[in-house]
Amino acid sequence: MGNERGFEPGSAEDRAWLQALVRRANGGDSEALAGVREFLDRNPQVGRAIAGMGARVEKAWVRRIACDDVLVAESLAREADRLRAELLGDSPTATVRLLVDQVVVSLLELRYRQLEASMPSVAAKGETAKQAARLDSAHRRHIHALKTLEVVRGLKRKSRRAKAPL
Amino acid sequence: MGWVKKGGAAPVYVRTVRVEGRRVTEYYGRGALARWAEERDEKARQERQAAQEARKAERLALATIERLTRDHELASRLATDAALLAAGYHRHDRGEWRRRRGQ
Repeated sequence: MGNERGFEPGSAEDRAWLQALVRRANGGDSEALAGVREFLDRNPQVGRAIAGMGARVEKAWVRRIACDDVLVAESLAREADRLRAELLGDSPTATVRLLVDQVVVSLLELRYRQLEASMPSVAAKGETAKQAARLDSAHRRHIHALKTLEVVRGLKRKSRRAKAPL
Repeated sequence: MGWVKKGGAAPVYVRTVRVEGRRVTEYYGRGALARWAEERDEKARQERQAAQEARKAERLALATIERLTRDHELASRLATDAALLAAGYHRHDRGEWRRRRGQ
């Protein structure tokens, strides 16, 4: 699977394979845990590949929110970059970088949903409730991304002998 | 709406519209007025179709961004979970991440 040709985070099949491995490792399966470590050793490019996915998604949301307004697009991109720089801090690990990207992407999606929900006049009948649900979901995902980043930072601070850098 | 033939006479252009909840047929005859009505209806039909196609394209574009966002979210989460597990942590029943005993 992912180990033979290299893990592709954009592939649903590869993600499902890793998800199953992670689930077993988390459940205490020592063989699966060894598999997770081997996966990370053999796929150092995964962080960069996921960062690439994040960059594409980020651009897509910026274009979506800005429509054709170049000034709005530029402002949003700068806001995203500022937030990223603020959250990354000094010497961020690969995991922290992933999580910061997730915070930025989720914020952009939240911005879009806020914009969508603020235009009830263009909403079709029955669409308003769906928009509110999507806004709520985007808000929860953004909060979850922020919390996860804080949790990982907290674990890093507590850890004295981390087996792998967080 | 369209050209309607009755008996042996040449077709006439008709439109059916709703007036106060009732269906009413409008007759435009055969001449210039009929052709004008036909062109106007065709233009309106094309505009509705274009608007419908634009809305569909819009929905597809948004669905694509949403799918890519979910894919990125899942990939990030899996990579984070893998890093935490490799570092000796585990999470019980979606609770807090904790160090495994003996790690």
